[in-house]
Amino acid sequence: MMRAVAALVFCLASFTALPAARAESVIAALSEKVVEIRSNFVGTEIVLFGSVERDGETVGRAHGYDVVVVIEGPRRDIVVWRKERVAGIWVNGAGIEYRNAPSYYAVLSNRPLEEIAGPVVLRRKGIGRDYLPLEAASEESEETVAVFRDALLRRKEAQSLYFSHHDAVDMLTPSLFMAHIPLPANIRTGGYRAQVHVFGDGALLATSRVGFWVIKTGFEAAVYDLAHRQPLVYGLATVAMAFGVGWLGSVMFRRN
Amino acid sequence: MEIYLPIAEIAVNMLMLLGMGAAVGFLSGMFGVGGGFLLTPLLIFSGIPPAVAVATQTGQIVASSVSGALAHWRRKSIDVTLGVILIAGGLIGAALGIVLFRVLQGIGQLDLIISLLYVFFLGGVGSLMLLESGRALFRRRMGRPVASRRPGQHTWLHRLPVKMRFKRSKLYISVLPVAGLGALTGLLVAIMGVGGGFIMVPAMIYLLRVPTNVVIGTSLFQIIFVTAFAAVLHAVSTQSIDSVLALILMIGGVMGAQFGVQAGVKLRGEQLRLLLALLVLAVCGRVLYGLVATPEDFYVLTTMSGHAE
Repeated sequence: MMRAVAALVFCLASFTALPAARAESVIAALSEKVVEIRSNFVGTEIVLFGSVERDGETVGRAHGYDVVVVIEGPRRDIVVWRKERVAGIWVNGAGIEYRNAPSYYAVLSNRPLEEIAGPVVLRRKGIGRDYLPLEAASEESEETVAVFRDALLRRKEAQSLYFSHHDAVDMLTPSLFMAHIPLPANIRTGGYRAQVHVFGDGALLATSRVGFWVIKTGFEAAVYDLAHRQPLVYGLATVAMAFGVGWLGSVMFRRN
Repeated sequence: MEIYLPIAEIAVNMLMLLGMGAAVGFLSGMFGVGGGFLLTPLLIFSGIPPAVAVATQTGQIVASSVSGALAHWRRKSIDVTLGVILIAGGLIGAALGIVLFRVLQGIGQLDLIISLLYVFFLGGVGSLMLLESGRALFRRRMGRPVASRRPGQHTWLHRLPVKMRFKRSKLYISVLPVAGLGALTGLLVAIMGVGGGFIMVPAMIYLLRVPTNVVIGTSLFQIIFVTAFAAVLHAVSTQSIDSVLALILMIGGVMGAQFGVQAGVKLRGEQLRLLLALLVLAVCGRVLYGLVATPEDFYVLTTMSGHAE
């Protein structure tokens, strides 16, 4: 059974890679493996470098290579609520749950996605706003789910956590490229994964993966850890601090 | 000067937070209210998630109340016995409030309920105070004496059992309405991130008929302990207290409050209440606007546990 599945997968894989015949490969590296969040963190940017390698037998592509970098942040369950007007007041009405939606989703490319590859390839690889797989836990009709899905994407885009930049990948030479990955101040901590896809003449030629971590460090991490691991101690410490500040203020500003 | 808040998980301008803390601290010192009813909405308006704003405020109010209460302690304007009964009720109310907070968060209606409570309480209390203080000011202008206290006048509250003597307030009343008032404000402390002074002060004046000179001190005294208790409960249960945010607000608030106490002494009671009424109504109007105004986007995101996403 396993062997049959493996054979099938192999057939499919060789079929999809047919035009390229697996002649190209891509290597990529990030400027930082760990992004640290400190008290002065207002967002940052890391740089991805990469190169398309070609074996000796393969001839160059007439139209050059296209590079698409897809970065996904740690996944979590998200509920999308639709506001409805009840007695003149806007309240959260219907809600749809999306399981394991990425907290961050960036698509960086050297030119518009639709010029790089057709919808079939993009859908299969889940590249781009329209093809990002989001699993809705809902009994609602397909149209309704689609509307909520669009709302999720829109809200995330408003927070600069989902975005597509069509000019973010710089082709330094026909095979050497770099991309700036913007990380806004409101990013989640956790593991991030960047997939680097190389296209040529509309076909996917090679993919490579690199990852990085976003972590809190120093005082910020200490506060966060204490709040989650020792909540009682944290609460008492906060209250003690409040008493201290209040008393200090009263003493310092005492006027008789 | 941006600072990253570890629990709120956003970067905000530190000077803006200090300024907000100081401005609200000044008003809280002046009126003898915790200031939470102003600061919590301000924090929410400036992008702090409502759950974090409410939880953090319970800690912040402790600091401003401590320094305010110490000033009143020196002036001997605190009725400790009355305060202790209020606290006893307050602790029960705060515990119930935290449970309710978690339930509302789970069903995605916390933000709505917080806003509705603000509109309801601020609107009600603000209107009543406006009417009362306006009438008192009018009487004074007409040259009629203002009776600050009507001794011997009894209401149904005075017929309840379990009576106790509150020496400094010159009162002999049942502890039931006192503890009940404490419980109600305790509930609001936990859900709304307020000290409850805006309920406590008028209720003590108009319902319990506590003399005005001990009302503010006693209110601050009980707020300290009820908010401290609510803060610890929030830390353990909702894990939404941002102590960095709290510290910045505390520093601003404590500084402002000291000057507020001085300013409050110079104003007459009716004027003070009229100003407070207008302020309360202004905040109420702003929150109401947020509820009825057509939102920019009809969809919002939360995590499964109800935190803003």
